[in-house]
Amino acid sequence: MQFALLVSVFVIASCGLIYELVAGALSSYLLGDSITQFSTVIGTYLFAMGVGSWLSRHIHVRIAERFIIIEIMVGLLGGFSAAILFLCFAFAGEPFRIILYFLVSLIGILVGIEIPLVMRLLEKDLKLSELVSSVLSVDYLGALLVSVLFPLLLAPHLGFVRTSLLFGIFNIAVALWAVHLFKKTIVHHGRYRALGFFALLLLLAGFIGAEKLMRFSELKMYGDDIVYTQSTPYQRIVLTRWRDDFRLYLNGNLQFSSRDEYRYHESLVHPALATLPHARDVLVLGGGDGMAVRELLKYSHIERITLVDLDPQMTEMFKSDSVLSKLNNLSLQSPKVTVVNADALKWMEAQAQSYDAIVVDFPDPTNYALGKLYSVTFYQILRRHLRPQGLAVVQTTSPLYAPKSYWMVNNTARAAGFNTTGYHALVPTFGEWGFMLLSEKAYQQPTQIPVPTRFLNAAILPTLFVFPQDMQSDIQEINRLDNQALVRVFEQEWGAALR
Amino acid sequence: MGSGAAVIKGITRRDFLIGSSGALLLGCSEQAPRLPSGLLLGPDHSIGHKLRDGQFPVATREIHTPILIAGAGIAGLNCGWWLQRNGITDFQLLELELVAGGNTRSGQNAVSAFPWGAHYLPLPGTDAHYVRMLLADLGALQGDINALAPTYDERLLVQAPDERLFINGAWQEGLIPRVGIGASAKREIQQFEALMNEWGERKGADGRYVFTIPSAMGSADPAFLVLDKITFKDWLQQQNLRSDVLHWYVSYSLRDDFGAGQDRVSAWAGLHYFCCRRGQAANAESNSVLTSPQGNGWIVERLSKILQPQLKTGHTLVRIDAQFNSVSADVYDSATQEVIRIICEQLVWAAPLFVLPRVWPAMPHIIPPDYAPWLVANLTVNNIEEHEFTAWDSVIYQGQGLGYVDSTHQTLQFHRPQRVLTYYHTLSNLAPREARQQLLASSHETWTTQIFADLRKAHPHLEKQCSAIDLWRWPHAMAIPVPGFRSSLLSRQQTLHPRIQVAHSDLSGVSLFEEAQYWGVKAAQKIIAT
Repeated sequence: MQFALLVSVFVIASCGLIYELVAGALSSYLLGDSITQFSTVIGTYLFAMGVGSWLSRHIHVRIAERFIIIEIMVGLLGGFSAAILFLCFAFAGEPFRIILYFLVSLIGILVGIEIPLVMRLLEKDLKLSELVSSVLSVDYLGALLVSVLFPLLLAPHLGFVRTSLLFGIFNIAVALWAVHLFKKTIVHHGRYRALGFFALLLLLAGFIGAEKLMRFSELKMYGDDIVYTQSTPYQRIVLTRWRDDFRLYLNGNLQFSSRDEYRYHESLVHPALATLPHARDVLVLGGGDGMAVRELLKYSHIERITLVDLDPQMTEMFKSDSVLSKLNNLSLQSPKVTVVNADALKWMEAQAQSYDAIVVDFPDPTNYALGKLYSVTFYQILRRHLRPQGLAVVQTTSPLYAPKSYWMVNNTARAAGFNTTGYHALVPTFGEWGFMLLSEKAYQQPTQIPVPTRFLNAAILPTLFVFPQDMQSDIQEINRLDNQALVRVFEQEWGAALR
Repeated sequence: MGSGAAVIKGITRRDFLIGSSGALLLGCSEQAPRLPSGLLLGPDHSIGHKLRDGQFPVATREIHTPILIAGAGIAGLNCGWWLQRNGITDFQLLELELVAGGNTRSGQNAVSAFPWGAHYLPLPGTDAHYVRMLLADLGALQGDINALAPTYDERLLVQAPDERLFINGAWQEGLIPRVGIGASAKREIQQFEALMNEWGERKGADGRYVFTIPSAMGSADPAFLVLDKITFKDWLQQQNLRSDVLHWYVSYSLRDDFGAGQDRVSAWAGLHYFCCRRGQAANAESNSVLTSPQGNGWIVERLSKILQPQLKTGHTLVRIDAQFNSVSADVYDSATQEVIRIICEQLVWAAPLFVLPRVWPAMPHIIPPDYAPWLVANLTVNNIEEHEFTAWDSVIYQGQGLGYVDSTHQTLQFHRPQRVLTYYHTLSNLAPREARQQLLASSHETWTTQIFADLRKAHPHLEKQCSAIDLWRWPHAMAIPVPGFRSSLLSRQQTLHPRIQVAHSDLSGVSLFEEAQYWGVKAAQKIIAT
């Protein structure tokens, strides 16, 4: 009996520490700032344990039964803690902290009750000095073991969710063992056993289903209702809706919000096209959502628009789906529009056709594959497809959050022989966003926007070309294929911006 | 500013961390593998064996040509290129195989072009003048070919990130071990790098660099020949460089270029490897290299096009009879299976030296080099996540093989879910003869199992992702510059016959593009001079 209870203390102590470590690690992982997360989680947890120890004085009778119930509660709460926290985080940002500290407090209180109860179960067999010394030494030993195992073995191999579930199972095992040990003194020990097995079943199911759970929470992470999801060979397309706000995510990255996308797409298209009254042929690279094409179609003199986007399912969705095609005003159904599903650079290399305007709407250079689409080589190939009087416009990340990246794109396009003119606009869901005009001759700002717009007009246009000091950079580097300098700088800048 | 302020068009920290953290949150799981199938290829043995046994029929007809080049590897192709750019077009360039290229052979499947051998060319220094001329002719070098740092076609410069090493359970950038190694290893690597820089600057009494490439442009100062008497391992130990980490790096490097490590390679050759390159580029780092999906195959393709009128593949030189006025060469045409006698004024032997005595019994004695056998495997790999395979060249620290290059790395394609990985393995742990036997005797399955075992450390799921492995066995892949190799070069570089020139990297004793090209051009120059 005595030995068995000391083993239980060891297990309980390990479990208690694991939940604390998982909460600390998960919160610093998700929220960043690990010093704050760990300090506050550990502080809260220790304080809660103190509260628990204090509360244990109010338990006078049927200590074994109470111990078993608490053990099962710790097992379930602690076991599912990582999963709960993860789901909460996916559901909503802010309440996450409240739930985090609530959960940590609750587990801390329960764990705080446990040890005093065990000590009282043992007090009949041992002297006080012996009791305190054995229980505390076993307690600390358990703590040492898991604090070593967690970073080395558990977190990397099992992950947070499964680690906490596994230790939840250990807690339940202790509870079931206690049922067995005290079966003579517990009146309805069958019920306690059934309860224990039920909890065990839940945890086992959680352990097995952990992967599905993750996928579910990932889907829910977008916050708003998901109205459309599609996994294509190229990306995961998710469309969410909250009231009248549609948001498109590709691989979890926000592409537009229907509330302010007009700001982005008007800024992308009109500064170039308003100065090209004779444009006939326009090429759009990326932009499979058809929004840029919608803006282009406002110019009746444009005869042909070629949209090159990698993903056929993306362009098909935005062409045929009743909700989505409404967002782009049926632009992809226009007889003027030809959709080509191809890898943009490869397609351009194989083509000789030239255009009056080229709209480049690629994702930001978050990896080396995308970095190629911002290289000297890319702009050289682009230049071959642009007519001498023509204009190309490139979406170029945020000059406010990533000024070095923005101006490196400028340097790179210049190295390819282009004249460049930068401008920027505020798109609330993105922040201050940057664009770059590329041309053979110097660009002249238009005096008016000849088509209907919601955001741009002649009065505001000149202000877009003014860069405040905090959007400047004196970076000299060029993004070449052999240095991929942009991806590195971009990662640094956004790494610092995304806290 | 709205609530979604911090977005990368637009990713929030939340999405970003969760997107990349599935593995950490959940841990990994594994499934049982199965072996992919593929081709087991190699040079045409039937002709090689027939050559060795002298089993060819007698010639049925006779034709005349002023110049005959036997072998369309790098040396033969460059000999032809030099003749052509000097106005000589009346020659024939024979190749035993059905395609030109020799060790620079390349292939192509539905996913990508890929190399079967030599896969890159370091930026040429000013001593590699002919390499620069060639690159300018092929459009790869732009502007002044004599500039210290010329401009190169960006498409051919290796794209970043170029090299990575899997060490202590993680990838690091670059191939020199840096992460998680001890202080003494770090210190020795620094000492080694400093020493190599110092030797790289060293010049002989004649004012030339001791180590340069092509090596014939180096100093003739005999003082440095002592370096050819010992192995590079002994030399490193004399410098008190004993760290295992450093020795692994040196061994990896030497096996990559010479097919053998420092215990077999001469100290002269070891120093040459680390000290001979001074190439720079106006538009790249100085340690950059030129490469393409098919490795150096792009050079072979462009030269083959230029030399199309003269190039005859599937034609093997089987007998040479050298006379005072002419050379009579019997050539086997594998398409018609007949032997033609070609009478020429000049013959260029642009094939490995060990074959020459088999076709020319009356030749003067030479000492051919030892050759290292190689295995090259092309793995077609599917369902690739972009972040898994980022670099061009990936090497596993203390791995069995020499790592692999991603043949799709140089393409401009954005979406590359399928790749061809070219895996290199030199059989350097055995003596060349035994190694050759093992190379040819082992089955496709044996090699495949071995390759996966080697790569598993870094890529535990590769077997599941791999749909095909094609293997190419090179029994005589490259000359090994063993101690004393410099003195045996004299026998190889002698004039064997006034009408027969040898053009091959065997004349330098190291199997490198610049060396092969140098001897190809030199043979052409001798012919032009006569």
